[in-house]
Amino acid sequence: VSSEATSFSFQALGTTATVAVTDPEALARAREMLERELEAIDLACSRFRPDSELVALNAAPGTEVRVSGLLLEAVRVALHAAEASGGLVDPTVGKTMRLAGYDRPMTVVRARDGRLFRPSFEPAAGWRTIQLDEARNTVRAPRGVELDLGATAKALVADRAARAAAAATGAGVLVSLGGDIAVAGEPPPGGWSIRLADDHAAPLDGPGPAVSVHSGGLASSGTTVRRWATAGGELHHIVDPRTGRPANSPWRTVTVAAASCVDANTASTAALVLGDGAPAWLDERRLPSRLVALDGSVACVGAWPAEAA
Amino acid sequence: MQTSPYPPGDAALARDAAAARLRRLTVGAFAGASALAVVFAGVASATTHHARKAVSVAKTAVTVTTLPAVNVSAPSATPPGGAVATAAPAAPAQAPAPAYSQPVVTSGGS
Repeated sequence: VSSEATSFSFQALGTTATVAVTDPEALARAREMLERELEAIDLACSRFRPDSELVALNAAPGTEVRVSGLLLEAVRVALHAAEASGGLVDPTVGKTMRLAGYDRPMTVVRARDGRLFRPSFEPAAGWRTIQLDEARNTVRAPRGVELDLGATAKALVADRAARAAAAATGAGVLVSLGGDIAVAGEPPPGGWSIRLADDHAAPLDGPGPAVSVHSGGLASSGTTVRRWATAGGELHHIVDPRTGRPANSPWRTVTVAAASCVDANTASTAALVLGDGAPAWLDERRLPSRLVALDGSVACVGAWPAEAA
Repeated sequence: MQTSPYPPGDAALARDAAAARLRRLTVGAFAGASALAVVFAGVASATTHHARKAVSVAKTAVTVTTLPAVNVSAPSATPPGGAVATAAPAAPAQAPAPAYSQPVVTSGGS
């Protein structure tokens, strides 16, 4: 049944972007809309593009900066994610990310000799320090605070693009950005089939379970893919805002299904940071989840389908 | 030409009279200077008092104009799409189910 869907993948935001539709005739339009969303979010939220709005915002600490509607929405979503996760997912980790060496696109970070880079870390200032004025379209970050919207911006684009493409084409649409997935419109019979792995770039026919999703979002956060070498050892990009250091988690990959891709991404990232308490935290929120421990053992939470041992 | 009221030769009396005039002049000058000092101190005090009032007024004005700009220190509760915000990530309408068809995409770390 899923053979009715047609998909297209390309590189964007330093990862893989995929759009799939239930009606092959809708693919070109859906792809075009996704590409437009990606270009817009990159220009608004990139930490690495010198012409991005976020770079300008981070360069003006203590100042009210007028921003575009898209950056305002991205910051609002990031702050909401922080509030919803009790601060486990916090956009004010930008400075510690930079100090830890993730200060340029990951391909460039990996290309340099990491042994020569000595990382340092700083606890996040906290999302409550960010002032957002919706009426005047301004954002203000205090001195010493740098925003990193990477945790939620990709998921936001997936939600926006899937919704917009489904509305414009009338087809069922799936958008995946590095394994953060949003679906909208009428799904294919049986739902969208999604394979699970530690790495979103793993082949579709590789080992591992697959689940079907009918609405909302599904996101995976992991510590095994986005890693880089430093003089202080190998680091990963899931930062614990409380310490400013890469989270020391018993989980290597967490996948969560939620009402939206943003919510799924928020929960999967929070679960990695939370560590041992993650299954209970996810269960309390009725979020179907799959957690893969460092030793490869799997824990399924809530209504997530059980897997054969 | 002014002449001395004292008999010629009585130099001691003339000297004493001159000294007395000098003392009176000195006391008078001192009293005048003191009076002027009091007057200037009063003027200075009054000037400073008015300046403090002006600063106080200015501070009040700044506070009034600044307050509206600080009205959003917490995030808006409106998530993308305009749906009603929830305090926590919202659960899906339908939980994932085992899939039996060919996957269209892989979810994993990136």
